[in-house]
Amino acid sequence: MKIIYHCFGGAHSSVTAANIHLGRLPKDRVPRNEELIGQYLFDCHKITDTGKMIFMGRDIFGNDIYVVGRRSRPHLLYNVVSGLSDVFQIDKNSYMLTDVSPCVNLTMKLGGFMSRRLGLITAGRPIVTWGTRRNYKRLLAEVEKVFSRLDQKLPPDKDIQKKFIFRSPEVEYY
Amino acid sequence: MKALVLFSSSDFPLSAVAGNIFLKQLLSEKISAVELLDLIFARNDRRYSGGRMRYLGENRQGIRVVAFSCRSGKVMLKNLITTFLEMYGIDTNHCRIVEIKTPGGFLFLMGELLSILPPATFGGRPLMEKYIKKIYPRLVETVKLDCNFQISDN
Repeated sequence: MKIIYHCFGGAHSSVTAANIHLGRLPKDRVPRNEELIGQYLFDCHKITDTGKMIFMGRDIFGNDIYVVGRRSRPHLLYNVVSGLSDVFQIDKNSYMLTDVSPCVNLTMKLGGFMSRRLGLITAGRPIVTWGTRRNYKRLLAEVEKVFSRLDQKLPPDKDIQKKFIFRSPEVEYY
Repeated sequence: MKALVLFSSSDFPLSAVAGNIFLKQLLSEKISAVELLDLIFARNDRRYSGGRMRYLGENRQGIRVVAFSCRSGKVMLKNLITTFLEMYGIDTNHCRIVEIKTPGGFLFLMGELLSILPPATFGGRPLMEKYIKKIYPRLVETVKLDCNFQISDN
Protein backbone atom coordinates (compact mmCIF):
# COMPACT_ATOMS: atom_id res chain seq x y z
CA MET A 1 0.00 0.00 0.00
CA LYS A 2 1.21 3.48 -0.83
CA ILE A 3 0.11 6.18 1.56
CA ILE A 4 0.31 9.71 0.23
CA TYR A 5 0.02 12.57 2.69
CA HIS A 6 -0.83 15.82 0.99
CA CYS A 7 -1.20 19.42 2.06
CA PHE A 8 -0.79 22.90 0.59
CA GLY A 9 2.99 23.10 0.24
CA GLY A 10 4.13 19.61 1.16
CA ALA A 11 6.80 21.02 3.44
CA HIS A 12 5.47 20.98 6.99
CA SER A 13 2.20 19.29 7.96
CA SER A 14 2.41 16.41 5.50
CA VAL A 15 6.11 15.89 6.24
CA THR A 16 5.41 15.86 9.99
CA ALA A 17 2.51 13.43 9.54
CA ALA A 18 4.68 11.16 7.40
CA ASN A 19 7.47 11.23 9.96
CA ILE A 20 4.99 10.42 12.74
CA HIS A 21 3.74 7.54 10.63
CA LEU A 22 7.29 6.29 10.12
CA GLY A 23 8.05 6.53 13.83
CA ARG A 24 10.65 9.24 13.48
CA LEU A 25 8.70 11.50 15.84
CA PRO A 26 7.35 10.63 19.30
CA LYS A 27 3.73 9.70 19.87
CA ASP A 28 3.52 10.11 23.61
CA ARG A 29 4.60 13.75 23.80
CA VAL A 30 4.94 16.89 21.69
CA PRO A 31 8.42 16.96 20.18
CA ARG A 32 10.90 19.69 20.97
CA ASN A 33 11.67 22.43 18.48
CA GLU A 34 14.99 20.86 17.52
CA GLU A 35 13.32 17.51 16.88
CA LEU A 36 10.79 19.10 14.53
CA ILE A 37 13.31 21.23 12.69
CA GLY A 38 15.70 18.30 12.43
CA GLN A 39 13.14 15.89 11.02
CA TYR A 40 13.60 14.51 7.56
CA LEU A 41 12.59 16.98 4.79
CA PHE A 42 10.91 19.46 7.16
CA ASP A 43 10.78 22.94 5.60
CA CYS A 44 12.77 21.80 2.55
CA HIS A 45 10.19 21.88 -0.20
CA LYS A 46 10.66 24.32 -3.10
CA ILE A 47 7.93 25.79 -5.28
CA THR A 48 9.18 23.74 -8.23
CA ASP A 49 8.58 20.58 -6.17
CA THR A 50 4.83 21.21 -6.13
CA GLY A 51 3.06 18.08 -7.26
CA LYS A 52 6.10 15.83 -6.79
CA MET A 53 5.33 12.71 -4.80
CA ILE A 54 8.36 12.38 -2.58
CA PHE A 55 9.21 9.08 -1.01
CA MET A 56 9.66 9.38 2.75
CA GLY A 57 10.27 5.78 3.73
CA ARG A 58 8.64 2.43 4.40
CA ASP A 59 6.77 1.72 7.63
CA ILE A 60 7.01 -1.50 9.63
CA PHE A 61 3.96 -2.92 7.85
CA GLY A 62 5.60 -2.48 4.46
CA ASN A 63 3.57 0.56 3.39
CA ASP A 64 5.40 3.14 1.30
CA ILE A 65 4.93 6.66 2.60
CA TYR A 66 4.94 9.67 0.28
CA VAL A 67 4.29 13.38 0.67
CA VAL A 68 3.03 15.81 -1.93
CA GLY A 69 2.26 19.51 -2.03
CA ARG A 70 -0.74 20.32 -4.17
CA ARG A 71 -1.36 24.03 -3.46
CA SER A 72 -5.06 24.77 -2.97
CA ARG A 73 -6.14 22.15 -5.50
CA PRO A 74 -6.80 18.82 -3.88
CA HIS A 75 -9.31 18.04 -6.64
CA LEU A 76 -6.49 18.20 -9.19
CA LEU A 77 -4.51 15.59 -7.28
CA TYR A 78 -7.55 13.32 -6.90
CA ASN A 79 -8.55 13.71 -10.54
CA VAL A 80 -5.09 13.04 -11.95
CA VAL A 81 -4.38 10.07 -9.71
CA SER A 82 -7.77 8.53 -10.36
CA GLY A 83 -7.52 9.13 -14.12
CA LEU A 84 -4.07 7.60 -14.42
CA SER A 85 -5.16 4.62 -12.34
CA ASP A 86 -7.95 4.00 -14.81
CA VAL A 87 -5.70 4.20 -17.86
CA PHE A 88 -2.85 2.10 -16.52
CA GLN A 89 -5.13 -0.31 -14.65
CA ILE A 90 -3.63 0.50 -11.29
CA ASP A 91 -5.63 -0.87 -8.39
CA LYS A 92 -7.27 2.05 -6.61
CA ASN A 93 -6.92 0.21 -3.32
CA SER A 94 -3.15 0.15 -3.72
CA TYR A 95 -2.83 3.76 -2.63
CA MET A 96 -4.42 6.03 -0.07
CA LEU A 97 -4.55 9.80 -0.27
CA THR A 98 -4.65 11.55 3.09
CA ASP A 99 -5.34 15.24 3.33
CA VAL A 100 -3.62 16.77 6.34
CA SER A 101 -4.41 20.39 5.50
CA PRO A 102 -7.26 20.53 8.07
CA CYS A 103 -4.51 20.16 10.69
CA VAL A 104 -2.80 23.35 9.56
CA ASN A 105 -3.34 26.41 11.71
CA LEU A 106 -2.83 30.08 10.92
CA THR A 107 0.61 30.16 12.55
CA MET A 108 1.81 27.34 10.32
CA LYS A 109 0.41 29.10 7.27
CA LEU A 110 2.14 32.34 8.18
CA GLY A 111 5.46 30.70 9.05
CA GLY A 112 5.34 28.47 5.99
CA PHE A 113 4.61 31.41 3.71
CA MET A 114 7.49 33.41 5.18
CA SER A 115 9.94 30.55 5.00
CA ARG A 116 9.04 28.93 1.69
CA ARG A 117 7.57 31.71 -0.39
CA LEU A 118 9.37 34.80 0.85
CA GLY A 119 12.60 33.01 1.70
CA LEU A 120 12.67 34.46 5.22
CA ILE A 121 13.83 31.20 6.75
CA THR A 122 15.31 32.71 9.91
CA ALA A 123 11.99 34.28 10.82
CA GLY A 124 9.57 31.83 9.24
CA ARG A 125 10.97 28.52 10.42
CA PRO A 126 10.56 29.16 14.18
CA ILE A 127 7.00 30.36 13.58
CA VAL A 128 6.02 27.30 11.54
CA THR A 129 7.72 25.04 14.09
CA TRP A 130 5.76 26.66 16.91
CA GLY A 131 2.55 26.24 14.95
CA THR A 132 3.36 22.58 14.26
CA ARG A 133 3.95 21.96 17.97
CA ARG A 134 0.57 23.52 18.77
CA ASN A 135 -1.22 21.27 16.27
CA TYR A 136 0.91 18.19 16.81
CA LYS A 137 -1.89 16.25 18.48
CA ARG A 138 -4.21 16.83 15.56
CA LEU A 139 -1.56 15.52 13.19
CA LEU A 140 -1.09 12.53 15.44
CA ALA A 141 -4.84 11.90 15.40
CA GLU A 142 -4.83 12.09 11.59
CA VAL A 143 -2.06 9.49 11.39
CA GLU A 144 -3.94 7.27 13.82
CA LYS A 145 -6.96 7.56 11.54
CA VAL A 146 -4.83 6.31 8.66
CA PHE A 147 -3.71 3.33 10.71
CA SER A 148 -7.29 2.56 11.69
CA ARG A 149 -8.35 2.73 8.03
CA LEU A 150 -5.60 0.25 7.28
CA ASP A 151 -6.81 -1.99 10.11
CA GLN A 152 -3.38 -1.64 11.62
CA LYS A 153 -2.36 -0.17 14.92
CA LEU A 154 0.11 2.64 15.43
CA PRO A 155 2.95 0.78 17.13
CA PRO A 156 4.43 2.10 20.37
CA ASP A 157 7.60 4.15 20.12
CA LYS A 158 9.82 1.39 21.52
CA ASP A 159 9.01 -1.10 18.75
CA ILE A 160 9.57 1.45 16.04
CA GLN A 161 12.89 2.59 17.47
CA LYS A 162 14.18 -0.97 17.23
CA LYS A 163 13.17 -1.26 13.61
CA PHE A 164 14.33 2.13 12.45
CA ILE A 165 17.39 2.78 14.50
CA PHE A 166 19.81 1.53 11.86
CA ARG A 167 17.73 2.52 8.89
CA SER A 168 18.86 5.70 7.24
CA PRO A 169 16.17 7.77 5.60
CA GLU A 170 15.89 6.81 1.99
CA VAL A 171 16.21 9.92 -0.10
CA GLU A 172 14.45 9.33 -3.36
CA TYR A 173 13.14 12.17 -5.38
CA TYR A 174 10.78 10.94 -8.00
CA MET B 1 0.36 -1.44 -23.23
CA LYS B 2 1.48 1.96 -24.41
CA ALA B 3 -0.12 5.26 -23.61
CA LEU B 4 0.25 8.81 -24.70
CA VAL B 5 -0.51 11.30 -21.94
CA LEU B 6 -1.09 14.84 -23.16
CA PHE B 7 -1.51 17.76 -20.82
CA SER B 8 -1.94 21.50 -21.11
CA SER B 9 -2.18 24.32 -18.63
CA SER B 10 -5.27 25.77 -20.17
CA ASP B 11 -8.95 25.45 -19.41
CA PHE B 12 -9.50 25.11 -23.11
CA PRO B 13 -9.07 21.43 -24.07
CA LEU B 14 -5.99 21.90 -26.23
CA SER B 15 -4.55 18.57 -25.14
CA ALA B 16 -7.75 16.85 -26.25
CA VAL B 17 -7.50 18.57 -29.64
CA ALA B 18 -3.86 17.43 -29.96
CA GLY B 19 -4.92 13.92 -29.02
CA ASN B 20 -7.56 13.96 -31.71
CA ILE B 21 -4.95 15.06 -34.24
CA PHE B 22 -2.73 12.18 -33.14
CA LEU B 23 -5.59 9.74 -33.52
CA LYS B 24 -6.32 11.24 -36.93
CA GLN B 25 -9.83 12.09 -35.87
CA LEU B 26 -8.92 15.62 -36.84
CA LEU B 27 -7.06 16.49 -39.99
CA SER B 28 -3.47 17.52 -39.65
CA GLU B 29 -3.93 20.00 -42.48
CA LYS B 30 -5.71 23.25 -42.09
CA ILE B 31 -9.15 23.00 -40.61
CA SER B 32 -11.70 25.73 -40.32
CA ALA B 33 -11.66 27.36 -36.89
CA VAL B 34 -15.45 27.48 -36.87
CA GLU B 35 -15.68 23.75 -37.50
CA LEU B 36 -13.10 22.97 -34.87
CA LEU B 37 -14.75 25.08 -32.23
CA ASP B 38 -18.12 23.53 -33.04
CA LEU B 39 -16.58 20.10 -32.72
CA ILE B 40 -15.03 20.89 -29.34
CA PHE B 41 -18.30 22.19 -27.98
CA ALA B 42 -20.21 19.26 -29.45
CA ARG B 43 -17.82 16.70 -27.99
CA ASN B 44 -18.17 18.33 -24.60
CA ASP B 45 -14.39 18.33 -24.20
CA ARG B 46 -14.53 21.39 -22.01
CA ARG B 47 -16.16 19.42 -19.21
CA TYR B 48 -12.84 17.70 -18.63
CA SER B 49 -10.99 20.58 -17.05
CA GLY B 50 -9.47 20.79 -13.57
CA GLY B 51 -7.28 17.74 -14.13
CA ARG B 52 -10.11 15.41 -15.15
CA MET B 53 -8.87 12.79 -17.51
CA ARG B 54 -10.25 12.63 -21.03
CA TYR B 55 -9.83 9.24 -22.63
CA LEU B 56 -9.69 9.80 -26.36
CA GLY B 57 -9.25 6.31 -27.69
CA GLU B 58 -6.70 3.94 -29.06
CA ASN B 59 -4.86 4.10 -32.38
CA ARG B 60 -4.01 1.22 -34.72
CA GLN B 61 -0.78 0.44 -32.90
CA GLY B 62 -2.69 0.06 -29.65
CA ILE B 63 -1.50 3.32 -28.13
CA ARG B 64 -4.04 4.70 -25.71
CA VAL B 65 -4.42 8.45 -25.76
CA VAL B 66 -5.49 10.45 -22.74
CA ALA B 67 -5.60 14.18 -22.14
CA PHE B 68 -5.48 16.37 -19.07
CA SER B 69 -6.21 20.07 -18.93
CA CYS B 70 -5.90 22.35 -15.99
CA ARG B 71 -5.69 26.11 -15.85
CA SER B 72 -2.32 27.46 -14.69
CA GLY B 73 -1.20 24.18 -13.23
CA LYS B 74 1.64 23.41 -15.60
CA VAL B 75 4.42 22.46 -13.17
CA MET B 76 2.10 20.72 -10.77
CA LEU B 77 0.31 18.72 -13.43
CA LYS B 78 3.57 17.58 -14.99
CA ASN B 79 5.05 16.63 -11.61
CA LEU B 80 1.92 14.78 -10.55
CA ILE B 81 1.72 12.74 -13.73
CA THR B 82 5.42 11.89 -13.94
CA THR B 83 5.92 11.04 -10.27
CA PHE B 84 2.76 8.99 -10.00
CA LEU B 85 3.73 6.91 -13.01
CA GLU B 86 7.29 6.52 -11.74
CA MET B 87 5.89 5.44 -8.40
CA TYR B 88 4.29 2.48 -10.15
CA GLY B 89 7.32 1.82 -12.34
CA ILE B 90 5.70 2.90 -15.60
CA ASP B 91 8.63 4.10 -17.66
CA THR B 92 9.00 6.08 -20.87
CA ASN B 93 8.89 2.94 -23.00
CA HIS B 94 5.28 2.42 -22.01
CA CYS B 95 4.19 5.96 -21.64
CA ARG B 96 4.96 9.24 -23.30
CA ILE B 97 4.07 12.45 -21.51
CA VAL B 98 3.72 15.46 -23.77
CA GLU B 99 3.10 19.01 -22.70
CA ILE B 100 0.98 21.10 -25.01
CA LYS B 101 2.23 24.64 -24.68
CA THR B 102 -0.33 27.37 -24.92
CA PRO B 103 0.97 30.64 -26.27
CA GLY B 104 -1.58 33.30 -27.00
CA GLY B 105 -4.01 32.17 -24.36
CA PHE B 106 -4.96 35.77 -23.72
CA LEU B 107 -7.11 35.89 -26.84
CA PHE B 108 -8.99 32.85 -25.70
CA LEU B 109 -9.46 34.19 -22.19
CA MET B 110 -10.84 37.43 -23.59
CA GLY B 111 -13.11 35.48 -25.92
CA GLU B 112 -14.38 33.35 -23.09
CA LEU B 113 -15.00 36.37 -20.91
CA LEU B 114 -16.85 38.15 -23.68
CA SER B 115 -18.95 35.10 -24.42
CA ILE B 116 -20.10 35.05 -20.79
CA LEU B 117 -20.91 38.76 -20.50
CA PRO B 118 -24.45 39.29 -21.82
CA PRO B 119 -23.91 42.56 -23.72
CA ALA B 120 -20.90 41.21 -25.62
CA THR B 121 -21.71 37.54 -26.18
CA PHE B 122 -21.47 37.93 -29.94
CA GLY B 123 -17.87 39.18 -29.64
CA GLY B 124 -16.54 36.21 -27.73
CA ARG B 125 -16.80 33.55 -30.35
CA PRO B 126 -14.76 35.34 -33.07
CA LEU B 127 -11.94 35.89 -30.59
CA MET B 128 -11.94 32.21 -29.66
CA GLU B 129 -11.91 31.28 -33.32
CA LYS B 130 -8.95 33.58 -33.85
CA TYR B 131 -7.15 31.87 -31.01
CA ILE B 132 -7.87 28.42 -32.40
CA LYS B 133 -6.74 29.48 -35.85
CA LYS B 134 -3.46 30.69 -34.37
CA ILE B 135 -2.85 27.67 -32.19
CA TYR B 136 -3.85 24.85 -34.54
CA PRO B 137 -0.67 24.70 -36.70
CA ARG B 138 1.40 24.62 -33.50
CA LEU B 139 -0.64 21.73 -32.19
CA VAL B 140 -0.08 19.81 -35.40
CA GLU B 141 3.65 20.54 -35.14
CA THR B 142 3.77 19.39 -31.52
CA VAL B 143 1.96 16.17 -32.37
CA LYS B 144 4.37 15.50 -35.23
CA LEU B 145 7.48 16.16 -33.17
CA ASP B 146 6.67 14.98 -29.66
CA CYS B 147 4.01 12.30 -29.91
CA ASN B 148 6.16 9.84 -31.80
CA PHE B 149 6.63 6.56 -29.99
CA GLN B 150 9.15 5.22 -32.49
CA ILE B 151 11.54 8.02 -31.60
CA SER B 152 11.33 7.16 -27.91
CA ASP B 153 11.84 3.46 -28.52
CA ASN B 154 15.04 4.01 -30.43
